[in-house]
Amino acid sequence: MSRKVDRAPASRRRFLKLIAAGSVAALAGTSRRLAAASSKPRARAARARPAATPPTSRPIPRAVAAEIRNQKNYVARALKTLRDYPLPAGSAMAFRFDPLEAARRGRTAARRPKPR
Amino acid sequence: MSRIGEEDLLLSVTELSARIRARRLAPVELTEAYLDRIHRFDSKLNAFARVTPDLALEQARAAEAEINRGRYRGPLHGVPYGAKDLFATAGIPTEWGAVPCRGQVFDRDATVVRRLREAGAVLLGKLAMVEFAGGLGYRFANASISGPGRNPWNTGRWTGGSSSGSGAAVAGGLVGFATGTETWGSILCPSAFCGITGFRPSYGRVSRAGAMVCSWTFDKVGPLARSASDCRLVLGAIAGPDPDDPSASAEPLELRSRGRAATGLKGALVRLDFSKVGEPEVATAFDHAVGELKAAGLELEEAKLPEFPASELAGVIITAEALSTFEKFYRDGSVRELKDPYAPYQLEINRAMTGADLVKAWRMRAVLREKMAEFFSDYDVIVTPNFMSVAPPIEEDLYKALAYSDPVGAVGNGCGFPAIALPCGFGRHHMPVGFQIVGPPGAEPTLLDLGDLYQQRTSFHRERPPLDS
Repeated sequence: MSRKVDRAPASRRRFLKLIAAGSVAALAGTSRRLAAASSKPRARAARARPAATPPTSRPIPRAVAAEIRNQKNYVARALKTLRDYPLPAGSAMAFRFDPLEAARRGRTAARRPKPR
Repeated sequence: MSRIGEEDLLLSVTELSARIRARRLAPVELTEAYLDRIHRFDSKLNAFARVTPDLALEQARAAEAEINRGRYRGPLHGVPYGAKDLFATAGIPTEWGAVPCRGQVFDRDATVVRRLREAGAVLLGKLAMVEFAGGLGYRFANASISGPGRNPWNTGRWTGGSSSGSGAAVAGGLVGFATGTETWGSILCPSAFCGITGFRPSYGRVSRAGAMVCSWTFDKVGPLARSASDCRLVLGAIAGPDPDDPSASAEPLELRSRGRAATGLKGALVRLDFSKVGEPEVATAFDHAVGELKAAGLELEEAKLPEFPASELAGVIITAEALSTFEKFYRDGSVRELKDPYAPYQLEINRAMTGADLVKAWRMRAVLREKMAEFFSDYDVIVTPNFMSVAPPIEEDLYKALAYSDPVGAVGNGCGFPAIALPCGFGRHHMPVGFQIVGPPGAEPTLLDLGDLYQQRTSFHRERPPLDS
């Protein structure tokens, strides 16, 4: 999202900021409603975290945005390296899955998750 | 000030415990002297996240009483230490180096803390660290609730991370030894930069129960100390299976020094290319270390690691696991309180990573493990430089200051290999330089024996920083 904000035309950037501000207001409204409806300790907890907004909802300084782009490019290069590495289809499993242990005193079957 | 001299506080655990056992050094007096030194120097070093004087003196009094009654628990009995602030300590804040975790308190001790208490060690306090052990990345040394870790050799320079306080406290003589963790480099880096000896055990050798999770499949717990012998003593106390950590290995570990020569062992000498990056003084110090190991009888053969994108696979797995373990801080927005300006954006930065990428990285990890098993069929150990430059200045951009790859670190951590970090000289600005010896899983005794052997022939591990002057 940050890259989109940085590369977008000014009008679009302003629009995204408005959207972000709106979402902050919506979140703040929700937390106030929740606080009013819940017990006091919960209300205190809600006030204790006023920063509960998505990181990208605030304007990003130009230098930070540039570094985010760099880091995204680095991730993209690393992922390309991994994706280009040839492995045979269905090679050996890399990590182990342990099934449930054998039933003890006949109670395990009752707790076994239903197939989905 | 007690009659214990400053030089006593910089003794190795081996030397401290010999004096304690012989009752020439009293644990209470020793603890008071360390607390006094912490009081004098910690504001210069930022080594401690929290000092616990009351608990330390209580434990020291208990140790002293037991020893006086003739009940000696072992070589750590009465020896003061510090725990990285990601090990839970019952009733004492454990803040993971991160502002969002300020005041976080657990109701029970981490297994490592409990084992050290049972061994009679005295907890002086919690040691500073990089926020979340660097799990969400960091670009500057100040990415910690405690501020930047300052190096006792030059307080204008960084200690390394993420076990920054562990490095500073051991090098500065504020503790007898310290505990640390490594996901990728967090024990070896501060060991190199601070001129101390660090030990990264095999994955699963030491229980992680009660320790912050950075990456479930990469995190290792190990000691930072003033000699290989000290690391052996601490590892002996903390290693072993643990019902609270299913990944803790039940493999038997015989840590007693075999006092053997290196003869009969064959090492792969993996050189790094200093022609474009790094500092030539580091390469020179490493060459001298290689000479010492050869003179001690270790057969060394120039070798190259298998061609493999180990850094990329390690990066993908660690990032995915870290973003998952720290997800809560994104959800509640408190990730913005972290000092690193890019941490809040890591979810977005890594958005391109898919589930299939993570599974592919895992499958490649299995291939890497096979390739390295083959590599170790020819060699007992790998000998290679640790960091390619000395500790950078505190304010330096770490992306630029440490802009070189770490192929051995990627392979070593990707495969869960043990490694020992040993000081081997000094580089620019008279800052410490270190090298590492890496072995296959279970090679702890060999690495410690080689570390002992190297340190019997050299004195870099006995060099002390000019903190008092």
